[in-house]
Amino acid sequence: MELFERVMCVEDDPDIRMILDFSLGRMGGYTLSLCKSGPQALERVAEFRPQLVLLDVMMPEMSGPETLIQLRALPVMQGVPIVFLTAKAMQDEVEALLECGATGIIVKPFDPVTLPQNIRIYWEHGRGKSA
Amino acid sequence: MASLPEGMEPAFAAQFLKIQQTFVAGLAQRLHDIQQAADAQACHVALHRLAGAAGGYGFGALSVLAREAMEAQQAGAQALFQATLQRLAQAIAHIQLTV
Repeated sequence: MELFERVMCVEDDPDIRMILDFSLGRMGGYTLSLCKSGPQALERVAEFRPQLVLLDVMMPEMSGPETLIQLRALPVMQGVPIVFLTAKAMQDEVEALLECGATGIIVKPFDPVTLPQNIRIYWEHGRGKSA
Repeated sequence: MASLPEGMEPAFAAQFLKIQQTFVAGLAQRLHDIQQAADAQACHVALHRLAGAAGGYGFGALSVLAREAMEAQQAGAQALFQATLQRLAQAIAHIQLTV
């Protein structure tokens, strides 16, 4: 049975990376790769081999949707759930993000207590599919 | 104004309070980024970042204020926008005194 252990988080805001580290790393017990940009995620993904990626939408260097497209093109990312983290939650924006190929969306601010379980649900339902 | 997230195990509370203090220490810079933004887009981004981060640290009201400021800005409601920024600054000052 496959264990769910490795999560890559791509987020430019250091305070949000810090709460992700606390929530998913310390409370959730996941092994994390915390990336501050899309290019950094693309550099690390082959070695880290994430089982799920949490991806911020609004980032300066490379946007979340742009990063998703480049991640999805990599063989190592086939069937890996990618979940957007966004402070935007208007329905049309949600639909546009899902059409990019995201597995789901988690709205910021998120609850650090329930986040570890929420991403597990996305992993259980999204793994093996390529959105 | 701040609180521990509901359901957090006591074993994690001390660690959470520590990172919460780190977040609070950065609020002055966030407020500066909002107030001194070079243009409307930079201000929007700074508010967006604050709205996204504050709630996770137990400052839900601050997150709501940042979002209200974004909405007032987007609607072109300048007086409401300035008033909301003032409330945001007051809320940050209160947090800095109490956390």
